Amino acid sequence: MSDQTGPGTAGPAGPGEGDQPADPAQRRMDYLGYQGEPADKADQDSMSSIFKRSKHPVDTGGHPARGSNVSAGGPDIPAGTHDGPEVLGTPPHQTDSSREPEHTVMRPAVGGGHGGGVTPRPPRAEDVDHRAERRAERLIAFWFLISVVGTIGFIITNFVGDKHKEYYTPCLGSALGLAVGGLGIGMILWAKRLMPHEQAVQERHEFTSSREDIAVTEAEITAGFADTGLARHPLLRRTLLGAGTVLGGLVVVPLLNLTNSKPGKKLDHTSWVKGARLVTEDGRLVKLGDVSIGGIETVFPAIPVTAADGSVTYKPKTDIQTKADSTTLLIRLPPGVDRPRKGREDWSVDGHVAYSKICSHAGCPVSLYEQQTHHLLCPCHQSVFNVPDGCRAIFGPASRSLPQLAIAADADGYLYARNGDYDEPVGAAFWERS
Amino acid sequence: MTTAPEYVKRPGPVRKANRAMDDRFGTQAGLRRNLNKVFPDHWSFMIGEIALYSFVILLVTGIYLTLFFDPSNTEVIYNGSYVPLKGVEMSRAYASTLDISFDTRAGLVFRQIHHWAALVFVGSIIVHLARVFFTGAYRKPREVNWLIGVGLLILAITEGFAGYSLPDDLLSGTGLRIAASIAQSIPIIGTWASFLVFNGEFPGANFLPRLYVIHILLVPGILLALIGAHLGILWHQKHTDFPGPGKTEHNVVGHRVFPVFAVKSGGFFMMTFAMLALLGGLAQINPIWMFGPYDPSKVSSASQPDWYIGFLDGSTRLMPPWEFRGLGHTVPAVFWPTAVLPGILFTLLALWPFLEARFTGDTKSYNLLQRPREAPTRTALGAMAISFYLVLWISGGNDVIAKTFSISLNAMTWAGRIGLIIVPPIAYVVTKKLCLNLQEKDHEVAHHGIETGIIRQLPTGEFVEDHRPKAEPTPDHPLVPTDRYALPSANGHGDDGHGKGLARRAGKAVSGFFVEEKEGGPGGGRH
Repeated sequence: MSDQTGPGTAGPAGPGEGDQPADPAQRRMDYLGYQGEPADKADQDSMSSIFKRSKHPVDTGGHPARGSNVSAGGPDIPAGTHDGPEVLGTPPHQTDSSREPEHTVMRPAVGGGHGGGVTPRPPRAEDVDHRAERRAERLIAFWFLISVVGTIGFIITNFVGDKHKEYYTPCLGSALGLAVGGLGIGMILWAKRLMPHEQAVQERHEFTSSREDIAVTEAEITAGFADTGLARHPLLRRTLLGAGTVLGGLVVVPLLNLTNSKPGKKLDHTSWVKGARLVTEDGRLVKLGDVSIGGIETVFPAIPVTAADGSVTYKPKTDIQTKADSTTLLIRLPPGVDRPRKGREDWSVDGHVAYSKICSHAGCPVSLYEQQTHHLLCPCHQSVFNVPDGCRAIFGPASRSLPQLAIAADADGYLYARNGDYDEPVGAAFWERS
Repeated sequence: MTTAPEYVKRPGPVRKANRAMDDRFGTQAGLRRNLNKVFPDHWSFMIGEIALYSFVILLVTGIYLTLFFDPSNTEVIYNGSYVPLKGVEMSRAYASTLDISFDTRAGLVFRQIHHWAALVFVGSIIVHLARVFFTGAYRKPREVNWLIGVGLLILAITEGFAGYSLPDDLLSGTGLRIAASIAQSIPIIGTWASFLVFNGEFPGANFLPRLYVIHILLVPGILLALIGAHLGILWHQKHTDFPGPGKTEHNVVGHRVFPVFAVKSGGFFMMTFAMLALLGGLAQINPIWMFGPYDPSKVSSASQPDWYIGFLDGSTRLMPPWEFRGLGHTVPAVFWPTAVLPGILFTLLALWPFLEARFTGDTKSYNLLQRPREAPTRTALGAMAISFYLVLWISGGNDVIAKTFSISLNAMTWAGRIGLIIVPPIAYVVTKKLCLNLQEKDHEVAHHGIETGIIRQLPTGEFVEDHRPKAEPTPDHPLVPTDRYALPSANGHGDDGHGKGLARRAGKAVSGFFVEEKEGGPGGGRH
């Protein structure tokens, strides 16, 4: 055991070397998976009537042990076997058998060898009929050739085919399917029809180590830990723990470096400013009368820019960042339908109301409008909002109303944001939101 | 007896290579051991293989796609060969995905194979998981591989979501927006989490390159490592098998790796690849050119995520608008169905082997599998979980169903909400009853044999039916399972590991729930 305990160890007391199995070679064999004895009596009793097989057949030179090698219908005797018809294969080579796990390989044999209750499969037509074997071989070869046809088809389609034509992708896929599928079907037929139909039996071995082995390993770890001195030197232990903890805390640094954009109050604001006009995606400023009764329009902010001479122009903001939080729905309700909330009586003009299009549930654009019921439906999770009632959430998982944008019309009839930004955050709720 | 194989003095190239390796690494014993490893034969053991092969195909097709894809948020004007989008402003990510689809040789077919392979990957993982669950394959000593498997499932779903979010089309952008809202909904850290992930307020700055690295390096790297560990542990511990003639807890019966298993598996890989190639060529998937580039102000109706996200979509749709507000803070409704619920589901899934061992008191190691009926409580709980998942999943498409069958959407939502509460218990009761009845049938067959349909008249005038006896039981394969769920406490042992007082009583109650069997029925004792 000296090679296992190692030379430099302090030699732990307790379950020591004396308790180790006398034979180190035996333990190494255990490690390699050797099972000295068959696991149960049933196996042992039947050992004489089944053939045993070493890790490698004798005829490694390419003579598969198959029934087809002998006359049709005869017993399945591979070359190099002398023990009678029931024994197929060879016993372990004596010089190295002690290092090998036991293997029992059952093959269809005349005389019906019975190994530990394992029933050998009945012989196939290919095992006993030379013509059946030839047929199987031809069938497998056919599928291998199909594979070649598929590969050639793939190459031709890829280079000669017109990639803009509709046939291109289906042809490539079909050709590739034939190329790999032909090989696959051929291989499976090959294994099932022509390869030995074996029922190999292999012993399992316990994973639990011997008590001695456990004792020695634990003693070594204990001794090794004692050697580190961590138990004896509390200062060493505490500073190491402390340093490790502080170093572990360093992971926060790269994590925080993931963004330079701190949340702050960013989620509370959108791009809407006071006086910003409502503009459609194609850059048209929205005037009273542009939207018919019952109509709906998706609008974005057009930011007023005052030039040096005092004239004001409106610059539409429709970049993706703006769209993500400032997208607004302008809906024109029939007269008398809207029931504005208290304090919001002047947030609408002539039936025109503006609400955030970003769903208060998970941020999808609320894009389905039912003219008859004045309901807005979010296609993502089916939240329903009642527009005349301040876009209150009336069904589905959303719990908050859609935020309302206060709008008014100027002297030219252009609609604009009269109070500036929404008075609450748009989109999905979050922890800091009250 | 034969003599030992002779050492070939003039080796050919294969032997030369073998000996060269052996001179350097001493490979022969290990090589023989591994080539002769036995794998059991059962169709259900190949489901995990489908997952493995889909992953390989994902890697191969994914590498091809990386050569053409440009994960950039930079806006460009499209000028490719897809006419309807000519002149439209879009990100380079979307434009390069269009180029892959229309202007790259074999681009679309590999993109579609990649997408199909992702769908099959997650699907086969879940079916494989169900197989492992219902046959008890996760029991000691295989709990660690169960944990790795659960990790693989979560990563596969994450990877799939990251993948279909990359093209920056309208559908994927909408999905990312919802993801940002979910991140934002986490109490205390939510806003920061969302800002750190997206690099600012959604849609963030240069987010796609970040997502790209997650999709092609970070997650696949972890997946690869965990798949390696999963297979390594499987190889080391040897595969489980169903009971059968000659099969015991101490052996494996099947084909050796070389040559039969290797050739069969190789063929199976080719078949998986062929199926995905045919799907990729013939079945259109994720036609991003029809969705248009992402625009936060637009959405297409009846937009659906990939199927494996569907259950989260469903849970979000069914969730009542329960938002918690107080002390100046908010916990949004979206937090519960998308963060808390999957958290609980995956935690329960991961802990299942340990919970079962704890409550059944069964800490033995098993290599032989159970049929679902042999563990009625587990099977019933599994059926309950599946029905829960299915209600969520169906609800994920409730708008499509409502439209297709002209049902009110509100009715669909309410059906889902009520169904989520009442369907799983029904599934539990029905499945358990079914299992117990099947056990009873087994029991009867074991004791009275199989009905032959042959009626005989006895000399006394009585009519009897002939029964054919079932095969003799072997020690490790009793015809009727017996002590699998016996509790130590049931045998009058004092310490059943359930602690003291209330906790002890609760533990015992739960254990009773787990091991409940019919009085005097199958499982009541050894036969």
